[in-house]
Amino acid sequence: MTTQPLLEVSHLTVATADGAVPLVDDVSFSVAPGECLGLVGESGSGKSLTLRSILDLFPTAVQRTGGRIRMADDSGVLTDRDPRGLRGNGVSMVFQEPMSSLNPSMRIGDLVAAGARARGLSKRDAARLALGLLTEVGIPEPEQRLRAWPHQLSGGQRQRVMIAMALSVEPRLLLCDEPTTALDATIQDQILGLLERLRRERGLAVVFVSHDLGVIARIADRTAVMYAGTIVEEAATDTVIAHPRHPYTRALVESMPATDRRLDRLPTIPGAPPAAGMWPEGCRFAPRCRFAVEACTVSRPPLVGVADDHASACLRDRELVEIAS
Amino acid sequence: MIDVSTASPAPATAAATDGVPRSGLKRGTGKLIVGSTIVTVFVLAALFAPWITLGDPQAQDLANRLAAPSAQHWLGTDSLGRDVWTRLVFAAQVDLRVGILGAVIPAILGTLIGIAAGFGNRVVDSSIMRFSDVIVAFPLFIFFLALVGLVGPGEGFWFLGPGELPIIIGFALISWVVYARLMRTEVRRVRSLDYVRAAETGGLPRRRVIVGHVLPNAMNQTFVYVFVDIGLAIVAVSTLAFLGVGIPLDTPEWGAMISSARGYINTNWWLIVAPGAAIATLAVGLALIGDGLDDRLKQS
Amino acid sequence: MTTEIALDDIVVEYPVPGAKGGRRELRRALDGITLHIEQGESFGLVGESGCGKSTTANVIIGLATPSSGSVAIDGEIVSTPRRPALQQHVQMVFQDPASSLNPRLRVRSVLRELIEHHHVASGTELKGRLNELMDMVGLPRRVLDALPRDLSGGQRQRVAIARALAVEPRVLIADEAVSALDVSAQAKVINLLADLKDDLGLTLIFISHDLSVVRALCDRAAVMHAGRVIEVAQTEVLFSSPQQEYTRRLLRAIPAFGSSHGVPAAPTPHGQQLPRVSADRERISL
Repeated sequence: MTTQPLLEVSHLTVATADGAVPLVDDVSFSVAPGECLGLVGESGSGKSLTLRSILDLFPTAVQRTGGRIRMADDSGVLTDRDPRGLRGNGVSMVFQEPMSSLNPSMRIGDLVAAGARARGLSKRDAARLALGLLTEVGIPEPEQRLRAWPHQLSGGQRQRVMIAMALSVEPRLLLCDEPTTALDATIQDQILGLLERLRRERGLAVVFVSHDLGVIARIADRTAVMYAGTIVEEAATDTVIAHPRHPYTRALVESMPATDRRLDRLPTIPGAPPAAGMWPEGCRFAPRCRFAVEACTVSRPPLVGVADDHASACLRDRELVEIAS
Repeated sequence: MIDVSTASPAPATAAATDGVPRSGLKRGTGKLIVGSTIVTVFVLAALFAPWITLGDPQAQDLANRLAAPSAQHWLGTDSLGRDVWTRLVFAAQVDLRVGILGAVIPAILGTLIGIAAGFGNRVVDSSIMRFSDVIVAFPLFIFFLALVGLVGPGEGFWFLGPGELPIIIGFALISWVVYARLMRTEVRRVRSLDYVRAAETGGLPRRRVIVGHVLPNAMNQTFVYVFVDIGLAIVAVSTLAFLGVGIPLDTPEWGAMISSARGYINTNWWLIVAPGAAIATLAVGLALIGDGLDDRLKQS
Repeated sequence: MTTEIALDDIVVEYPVPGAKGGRRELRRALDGITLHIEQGESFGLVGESGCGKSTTANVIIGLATPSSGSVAIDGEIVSTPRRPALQQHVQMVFQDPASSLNPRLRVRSVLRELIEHHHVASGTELKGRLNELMDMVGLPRRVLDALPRDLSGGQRQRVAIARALAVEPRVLIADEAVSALDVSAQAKVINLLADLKDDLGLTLIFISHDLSVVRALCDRAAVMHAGRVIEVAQTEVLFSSPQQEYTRRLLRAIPAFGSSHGVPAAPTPHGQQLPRVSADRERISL
């Protein structure tokens, strides 16, 4: 990174509350102001827990067991932060399920104004802010919608309301946990478009978690691929998709059904991702990797730079590049 | 996950049976152990009452009234000189009997009605549900108690003591509603699940689908609730007896015992504390079983 | 080619409570759809939620009764309830791996119940048939003794496919059968469905909101919108030159992934000096 990061997470570990089962293992990444970082991986890869650890929003029986979370202060200097202190204070979050994330007994206007009220705005100012935000996120007829209930909105509109709520505290960083997974394709398209516009207009930094490489390809500047609790590859999104270095990323990219041609068979990855607590010794992808050798099962390869601004955690990276060329 | 690779490089994976390995016991195990220990102690005490007491809960010793606890009378004697420990244990027979029947009978009744509503067409369903609304809205229980109060507790019936049958009938008339609603909701939920639709589209006969696929999966919450309900029924029976309704005051029954000891709270407090503690402990034990079952069911 | 499934002018209506607590009114889930699906083809049905694609599947399989129009299976006009042979003819794989299997029954019991009911096999044949089904869907035979909670999502969907195949159907409907799966599990189940279609000569109806999945698997596809079929074409044609504006919008909405990325030339796995730790266990793993 050339610019000073906005957020820096280093050596993050997350485990079950009794400490018995590691769920995220030594994950480090940073986000620059205005940048969108994509975290992509399959279920159980730890991508969602990694995101949630930034605000300490864990499910019961899960906790952060190590690592540092630093955020730039007003003068741009990185300082250690208590994750709970960041909630609604520079960082806010958009969840996957817009229905269960909106209090069903509050009107839309009050939901969006609540954050501003908590910051001490008067009722009138907060209402004006809410109206402005609903307009900004593209809710049609926002004046009428202020008095609507969450259940009266469609899924896409609820997600817009969630984004408006997230914006009401004027965050510098927006955390998105699969915000479009529950939506139809055309609605997903609109929400991604909205997020892109907000990034442009507000200079908002985003960490976007998704299992869908296609969505990540569209929204993220940089992408980190997660597997079994660790980051296995990180680079500019175009690079990750067009020139993946890690065998897992490569296999993941290949197994996506393409939209421009018919394949007789989709390439697949043998086996299933290991469950948490059953991570194999050495490289965790080795048992499923077609390039794995004995050495891969001995020690875990670190995430190292393999090219400019491109890191991968594969023992055989050099060899594989040579074979390919 | 079941490991499906032929050449498993890590033997540890093959031994695993589940996504996240659990440390220690299944959830709810602690509650189930404590709860069932408590309940088992009460049930055993009730069953072996003649052998662990002085034998006759009604035997009076007017010369030895309101005695303090001693080696002979573990919990002392009451105002008629009857042994309190003996009465306490024999009361477990009465309270458990009425409590269990007072919960299980409405549970069976309500479950059957709920199944009918859950599977029936719109007319059957709404008739049943409107009828249950009427039952809830009408102060039936008070009406029933007034009736019992008027005609008196009556004789015992079969293996039931005096006053027990009317109380059980009263519970059956009211509490089925809860079970019927619970079952109806569960039946409707399970019916819409994919495995039931798969059984239907697989061409299985309707009866097989209901008995084999819907009911076993719709009964869980009923089992959980019935344990809690037995506890509630016991509290209700003793409350009524305390108020002088239903079970006659001279019966060894916890509520009746508390009621007849009311005047001696300053001098012989254990006369009240002992039956009170018995009610509370048993109700907590039953609730723990219900709660533990619930935890266990939620987990799987 | 003969027509396997013929839907003609199907209308499905269901009552909904009227606005402001008024009288019940009828809402149309399907508004006169006509679809002819050929024997042995894989046919895709795409559209967004609420477009009627699942209702269409329910009509084909007999879970929903049309208020007008006709359904013909294998040339025979069907009525509800269906005669057993026709019910057996079409089977379905449902969407949600979490609820697609009865949590109390072992895989063996689920399959045996169906096989015995339809007299597909009995006695010693039964055991062979159960093993055969596991082989077909690429699961190890010991999964027969597993409970659903022991299985991963992909494994459950395979069991659901085995259950559908247990009664020897001619038509298999997959209703969003891979939507809830991770990318790597998804690709394998898609391949499995394609293989089964070829090996068993099944007619496959594949319902999905995900156009790229339909593209990968289907010969022909229909686009549905608001209870109507708005466009039917060969998949290639549908994707390269969509006729309807709505189809174009749907295609544009897919995150542009496939069209721009070039899958890099992967080093050959059968490489000279690459010793391979694991044998090829593609077929039986997921």
